[in-house]
Amino acid sequence: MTVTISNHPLFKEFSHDEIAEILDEFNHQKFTILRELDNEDENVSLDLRHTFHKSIGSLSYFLSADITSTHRKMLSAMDNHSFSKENRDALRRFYSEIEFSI
Amino acid sequence: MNKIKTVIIDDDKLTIKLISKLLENHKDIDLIQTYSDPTVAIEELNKHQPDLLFLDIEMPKITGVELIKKLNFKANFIFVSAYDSYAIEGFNLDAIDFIVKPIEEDRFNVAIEKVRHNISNDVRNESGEGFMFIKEKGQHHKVAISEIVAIKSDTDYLHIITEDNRRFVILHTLKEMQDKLYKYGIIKVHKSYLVDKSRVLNVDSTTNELDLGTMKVPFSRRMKRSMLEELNIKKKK
Repeated sequence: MTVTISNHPLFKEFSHDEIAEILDEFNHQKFTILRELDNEDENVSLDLRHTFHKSIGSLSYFLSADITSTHRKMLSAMDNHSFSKENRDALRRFYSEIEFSI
Repeated sequence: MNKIKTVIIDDDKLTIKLISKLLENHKDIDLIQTYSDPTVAIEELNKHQPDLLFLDIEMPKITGVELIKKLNFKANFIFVSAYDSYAIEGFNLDAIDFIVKPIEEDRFNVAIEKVRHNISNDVRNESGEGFMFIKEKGQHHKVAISEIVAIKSDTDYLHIITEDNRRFVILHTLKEMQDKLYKYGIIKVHKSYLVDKSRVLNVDSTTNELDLGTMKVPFSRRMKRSMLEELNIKKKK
């Protein structure tokens, strides 16, 4: 899945530099989440939880309400210590497949 | 007309950019500063006391909820978060609104309307220094703020109780009334009660009740500390 940032109406008036900055931030979030998910430790790290939380907010402009809702449920599962291996695998797949472009 | 001095505090730069852009459509709002580090913001906020804050809840080092509690002035604020589970906590702190990301322009504009209503609806400006007109059953009653003993919230309505036991029912939120009357020494002691702090004769910690002379009202344990500080029984932190 490719997310093209400048396509979103809210971002239309942003300059090229501003869009590039957003792109960097999205990629930073993506790679932080993938790195933390690769951690063998089954516990959810603070970095994973925090970055995933921020990423939900960022990506919610581009993804369907269903995906955002599923991600919020995963965040809730993290908070309730019920973040399963299936959740972890699904999140890894999602962030591995998503690409961002200006 | 004075512009509404506004500050955004969010560690997510995207949200800062978006809110900044959306605010450009509102000429009565003056965005004076943005902060991505909430710990840097606190001192500046206390110094400049802006009229309105847009505030993220979950930030590193300090949460938006903790930040609000560290302010030395009564701030008008809107929480912005990706996680709606925080909404109840936000409203318990008397947030004007709670916006869940993705921020939508129409929803954002509704929040701005609430801000305008909240900030411009000042009793002193509308009705004169120290009094208010209360419309009830087709009549406007002039009530001095100094006559008010307590205000009780009942869903969308408020009961204003005066020292001579008159009771007026008006359509208003407790939050709005609290903001208007705080400068007159009327403070919140319970999720449903405001009281004139100068009338408190006794604080009963066994029954969690305040004796106001003409009536007793409950106070909440959660607000006890701030209430005791307001009453000068406990030193402010």
